[in-house]
Amino acid sequence: MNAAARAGRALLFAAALLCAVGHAAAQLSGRPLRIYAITFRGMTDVERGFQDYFAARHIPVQITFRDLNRDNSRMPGFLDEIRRTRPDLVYTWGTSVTLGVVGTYDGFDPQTNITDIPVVFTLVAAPVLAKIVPDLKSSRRNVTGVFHVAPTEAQIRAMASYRPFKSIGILYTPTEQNSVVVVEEVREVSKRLGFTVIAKPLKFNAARQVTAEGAPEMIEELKKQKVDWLYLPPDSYLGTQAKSVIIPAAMAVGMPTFASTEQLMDAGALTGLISHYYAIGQFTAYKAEQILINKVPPARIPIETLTRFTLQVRMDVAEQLKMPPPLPMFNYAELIVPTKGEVVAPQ
Amino acid sequence: MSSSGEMLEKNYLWHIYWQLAGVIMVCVVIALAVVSYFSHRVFERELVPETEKKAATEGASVRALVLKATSYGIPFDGLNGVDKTFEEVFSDNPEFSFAGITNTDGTLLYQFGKEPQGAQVHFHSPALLAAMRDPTVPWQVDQVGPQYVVSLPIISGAQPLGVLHIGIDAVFVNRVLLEVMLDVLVVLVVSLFFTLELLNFMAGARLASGLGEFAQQVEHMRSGDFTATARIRANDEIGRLLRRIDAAVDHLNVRYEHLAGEVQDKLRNADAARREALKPALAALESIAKRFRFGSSPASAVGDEMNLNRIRAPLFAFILAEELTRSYLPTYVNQLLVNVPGVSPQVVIGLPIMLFMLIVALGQPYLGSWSERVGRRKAMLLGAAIATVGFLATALAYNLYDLLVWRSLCALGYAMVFVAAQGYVLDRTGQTNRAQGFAMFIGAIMVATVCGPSIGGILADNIGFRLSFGVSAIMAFLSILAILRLPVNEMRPAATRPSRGPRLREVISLVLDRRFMTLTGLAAMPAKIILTGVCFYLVPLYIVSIGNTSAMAGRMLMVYAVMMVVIVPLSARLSDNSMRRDRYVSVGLIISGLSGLLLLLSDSLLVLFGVVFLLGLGQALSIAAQSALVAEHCQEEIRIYGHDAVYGVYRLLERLGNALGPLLASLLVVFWGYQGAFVSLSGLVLFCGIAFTVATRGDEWQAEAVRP
Repeated sequence: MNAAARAGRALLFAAALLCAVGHAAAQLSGRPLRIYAITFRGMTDVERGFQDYFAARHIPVQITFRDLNRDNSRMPGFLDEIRRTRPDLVYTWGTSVTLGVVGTYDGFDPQTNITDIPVVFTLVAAPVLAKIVPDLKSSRRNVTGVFHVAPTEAQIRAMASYRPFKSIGILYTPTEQNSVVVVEEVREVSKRLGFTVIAKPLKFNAARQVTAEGAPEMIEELKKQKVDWLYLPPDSYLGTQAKSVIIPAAMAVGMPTFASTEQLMDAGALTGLISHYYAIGQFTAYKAEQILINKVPPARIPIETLTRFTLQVRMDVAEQLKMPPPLPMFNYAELIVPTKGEVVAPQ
Repeated sequence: MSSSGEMLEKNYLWHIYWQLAGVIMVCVVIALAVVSYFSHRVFERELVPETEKKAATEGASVRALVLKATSYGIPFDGLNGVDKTFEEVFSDNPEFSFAGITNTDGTLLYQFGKEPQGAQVHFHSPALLAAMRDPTVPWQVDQVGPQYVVSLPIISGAQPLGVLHIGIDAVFVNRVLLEVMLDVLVVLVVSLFFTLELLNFMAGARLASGLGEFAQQVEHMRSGDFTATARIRANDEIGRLLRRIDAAVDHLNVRYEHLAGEVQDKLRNADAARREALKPALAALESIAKRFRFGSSPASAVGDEMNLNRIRAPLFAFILAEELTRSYLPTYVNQLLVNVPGVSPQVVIGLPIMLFMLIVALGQPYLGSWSERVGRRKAMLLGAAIATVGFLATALAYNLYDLLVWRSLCALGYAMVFVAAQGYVLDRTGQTNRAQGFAMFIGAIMVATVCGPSIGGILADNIGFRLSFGVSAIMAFLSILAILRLPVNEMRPAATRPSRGPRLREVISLVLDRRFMTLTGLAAMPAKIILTGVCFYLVPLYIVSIGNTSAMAGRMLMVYAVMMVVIVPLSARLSDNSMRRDRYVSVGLIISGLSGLLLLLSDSLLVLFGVVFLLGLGQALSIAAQSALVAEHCQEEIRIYGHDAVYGVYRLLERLGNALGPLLASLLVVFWGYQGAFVSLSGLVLFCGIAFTVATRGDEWQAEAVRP
C-alpha cells in the first residue's frame, strides 16, 4: 500500500530522454509529425504534459485539437476529418472518445472506426473492462494507450488506512461505461475484503440526459444508510458536478470523500489515490514517440499506467470533517493546504 | 608384524602424542572459554545501551511525525492513528514491548503494547516530567517493571507538548544474550572437534606414517633384510632416525660388497691349496647371504600407501560440506517454493531431501564396483568435483525445479565419495584391523555431523542461505585438494572378487524372508525414517516456524550428533558383553519412539531439546548393535545368498528408509501439523520397537544369539 501511495513521478521519462535522443534527432530534418487530438471536455493538464514532452525532446509535432464537449454527435465529423487529413497519429482522451474512434476490440467497424492510423488513448480508467483492448499486454490492433486510475483494491486499501470502514457509498453515471465497470470492481473487492457497497446511479432528466439533480438527496440517504465514505469513481460527468454539487453535499452531512482521479481531488475531495494528469500526458507522449519515432507497431506496445500513485490529503477538508489523517500518512502523503494555495510534497 | 619391543615403542610414542593432544585441547578450551566469557561480558555491557539508543532513534522519528502533524494544526490530543505508527515501529523492532505518549501532566494519551507495571507512577513522576520540559535533554532511561523505558520530550518550538515513552523488553534482551551465549558454546564445541581433526591431520597422521615406516624398517632388519631403500625420508625426528638407519644399512651394504669382492678376488688369484684354505670364509659368506639380504630394494615398497589415516581429512571436509546445509536446507527450499499442482507445499519442501537420500540409497551398491574399477582416488575426486558444482549451483538456484537438479548432483557426489572412501578403507584393512579402520571412517563423519549443522545454522542466519551454500561449495573444493594428496597407487587386495550390487532376485527373496525383515523392516528402516524425518525435515522447519533461527535448528541437530559421538562407542562396547544385542535395539527403538511423544506435553524449545536428546540416545543405543544383528541372526540367509548380498540388501533398505523419512514426515505435517507429525512418527517407531521386541522373544532368536 505504502509503495503505491508514496508520491512518485514516472522516472521512465528520464531514461527515455537519455536513450532515444538519436532517434529524435533523425526526425528533426523531416516535416513535423501531425497528431490529431480529440478531447472530451476541453483542454486539461494531460494535454499540457503531452505537448511538453515533445517540446522537451525537441520532436517537432503539429497537434490539431478537437473537443467533443461531451456531445457524441460531433464524433462522425471528427472521423471524417481524420480520414481526409490522414494524420500520423490520433490521440484520444477518455473512454467515450476512444470508443468513438476505435470501437471495441470485438465489435469495431472498419467503415466508421479508425483502423489504418495508429491511435494512442489516454485517461481511460479501465481499458480492458471498457473492451477497448482484450488485455493490457497488447491491443492486437493499431491501438495503444495509457490508463490513469490506481488499481481499485489499492484505492480501497488507501481509504481503509485513512479511516477503517464497514460500508462505502458510490454515485456514478449509469451511461458511462468506465464508471459502471469500476463500480463492479469495487463490488468484487468488497467480497474479498468484507465490506458493503451502496452504489446509486445518477438520475435522468426529462430529455433523457443524466443530471446531478437529486444527488444531494441521494447523499443524505447514503448517510442514513450509515456509509463511512463516499467513493468518487473515475466518472467524467461526476467530475464536472463534484465541485459544485456532490462534494458540498457530502460535506454538509459530514461524509468523507475519496477521489480516484486528480480532477476529483481538485474538486475538493478529502483524499484520493491518484496520478497527476500532467505526468499521464507525458507518459502518453512517450507511447506516441514509440510509434512515431521508434516505429514500434502499437500492437506491440503494452497498455500501462504510471508505476506509482500519489496519495493526496486536503488538510482544510480534514479539519472541517474533524478527521485528521492518521499519523503514518504524514510520512508519505501529499498534504494540500489550500489557504496558502500550496502543495506540500513529502520529504 | 608385531614384536613386543616395537609395540612398546609405538605405544609409548602414541601415548606421548595423546598426552600432547590433551594438553593442546585443554589450552584451546581454556583460551576459548576465557575469550567467550569476556566477549560475552562486553556484549552484555554494550547490548543494553545500544538497544536504548535504537529506541531513542526510533522514538525521535515518531516524535518528528507528531510534530509535523501538529504543525498542520492538528491538536496534540486529537492525533489519529498514533497506535498504527507504533505498530509499524514495533514490527521492525521486536525488542520493543510498549510505546505511549503522555501530555505534560503525565496522562497517557496514546499507547500500544503491554504497559509495564508501575508505568503510571513513572509517567507522573515530577522528576521525569521536569526533565522532559527541558529541550536540552535528549532522552532518559529508567527501569520500570520488566522493561527499560526510554523517554523523549516532545517540544514544539519552545512549547512542551508531552512525553514519548518506548519500553524495551528485558526478557528480549536476556534472550539475545542467551542466543549469543549458545552460539559461543557451539563455536567452542566445534573448535574443540576441529582442533582434534587438525591435530590429527597435521601431527597424528604424520606420526602414524612415520612410526609405520620406522616399524617397517625395524621389521625388515629383524628378518635379515638389509637392502638399501631409495625412499625419501621426512625431515622430522623419526625421519632423521630412519636416515641414520639408512646410512648404517648403506654402510653395511658397502662392507658386504667389499667383503664379497675381497673373497672373490682372493679366490681368483689363489692356487688350489689356498683355495681350500679360503673355503670356510666362502661358506661363511654364503651363510651370511642366506641369512641376510643385501643390495637395493625395489622402489615401490609398501609404505605410505597403507596409511588409512590419510582418508580422514578429505572425508571430514567433504561430509562437513553437506552437513553444513542440514539445519537450513528445508527453510531455503521453502523460499524457492513453486506451486506444484496437486501436491501440498509441505511435501514439496521434503522433495529435495527425499531425492537426495534416494539417489544415495540406489547409487551406492553400483558405485561400489564402479569405484573399484576406476580407482578409489579418482572416484572420490570425481564425486567431490560433482558435489562442488552441485553446491555452487544450489547457491544460485532459481527455483525448486533447478534446485532438485543441483541437489541431485550433490547426492551423486556424496554417494560417490562415501562409497569410494569406504572402499579405500576396505582395500587397506584385513580381518584384524577392519573394525578399527571403520571406526576411523565413522569418526570423521561423526565429527562432521557435530560441527556441520550448528555452524551451518549460524552461517545461514548471518550471511544468508545462498552464501552458506557457497561456503559448502568451498568446503567441497577443499576436500578435492585433500583428496589430491591421497596416494596415487591403488591398493587392491589380490584375493578379493569384485564387489557387486545386490540382484533383484536376492532383493525379492530377502524382502520376503521373515527373519531378515524383522531386523530390517522393524528396526533398521524405522530408525532411519525417524532420523531423517525428524532431524533433517521436521526440526529445521518446526524451529523456524515457531519464530526461531536456523542457528537454533543447528544447535538442536548438534545435540543429536553429540549424543551419537558420546554414546555410540559406549554402547558398542557394552553391547558386546553385558546384554543381548537385540535388547539394545529394542531399548533404543523404544526410547526413539518415546521422544516425539514429549511434544504432547508442551511445544517449548526445552521439550524439543528433550525430543532430540532422547532420539539421539535411542539411535546411539541401537545403531551399533543393529547391523551386527544381521550377521548374528541371518546366518542361514548369508549361507544361501552370500555375505555381500545380504548386507547389500540390508543397506539398500536402510537407506530407502532415509528417503522415506522426509516424505512420511511431510505427509503427516499436511494432516496433523508439526506437532502431530512429531508425535505420529514417534508413535510409528514405538510400535515398531514393541513389535520388534515381541518378534525377537522366541527360542529361535535366543538360540542363535548365544553364539558369539
